[in-house]
Amino acid sequence: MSTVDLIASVALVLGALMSLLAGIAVLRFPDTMSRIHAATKPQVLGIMLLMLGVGLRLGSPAVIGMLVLIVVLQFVTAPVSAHLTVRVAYRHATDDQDVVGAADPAGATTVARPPGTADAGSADAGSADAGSADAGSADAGSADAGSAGAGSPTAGSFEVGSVTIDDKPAADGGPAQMAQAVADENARGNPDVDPDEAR
Amino acid sequence: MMLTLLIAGLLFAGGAACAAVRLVRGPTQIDRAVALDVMLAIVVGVIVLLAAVSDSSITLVIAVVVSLLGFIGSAGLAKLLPRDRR
Repeated sequence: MSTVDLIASVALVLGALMSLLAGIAVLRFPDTMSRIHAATKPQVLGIMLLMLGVGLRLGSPAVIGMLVLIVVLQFVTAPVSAHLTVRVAYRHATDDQDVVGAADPAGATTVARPPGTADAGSADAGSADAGSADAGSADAGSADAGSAGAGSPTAGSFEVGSVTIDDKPAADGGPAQMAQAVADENARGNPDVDPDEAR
Repeated sequence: MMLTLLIAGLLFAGGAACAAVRLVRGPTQIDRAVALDVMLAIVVGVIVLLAAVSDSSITLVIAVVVSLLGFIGSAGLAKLLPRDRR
């Protein structure tokens, strides 16, 4: 067994070890989020190590091209599929109980929201939010900031945008459109998270 | 290379067995989807390992197809899973 074969064997065994670790983690980890986190490891690092082993073992250019194709496909598709799965798991988790934890930004903002703006945020019609943003008054801007903070992690940057609405009414085209987009995303993406948590 | 096949095959089998236990036991359907994803990654790994051991590059085409099918299956499950009321 030559040196290249030895390195290929080590890479193959390390890739197989990565999938054993993923299996143990999927079996042992306590909740769905951490299981998904651990399940992505053999799909990227394990596949990469295995492809390194095969590429060292069979060295022809056609084989190398196919291995690079597999690695690139895994690199593109593994984060996307993990993100889709995590989004569904998050919606299922926040549907009826708060299993994600107290550090959850959406839940914290929903709890800390004042009661006057709470029903405006939970009704969440896109046209109503856009109208109040076009009016440009101070309390309309703050209500929009509260309703936008219910579902999106961009709440901090958006509050800065609403402050600039109050100062300069000529520049409210961009932030108003952003408010419309955020409100539409909230109304369309998760239609029943907000009414469930507002009750 | 036979020793590599033995060790890596045992590691793959252990990982697949753990994922199968999670597939049977999993409290939600999402856990089962994740376990299936891990098992599909292990299938790709076994195909690649067999290609490396047997010095033939024909089965690598199957690895490409299976890795693409894994993405399509995972994305489809994420789109189409019903909301289970516990």
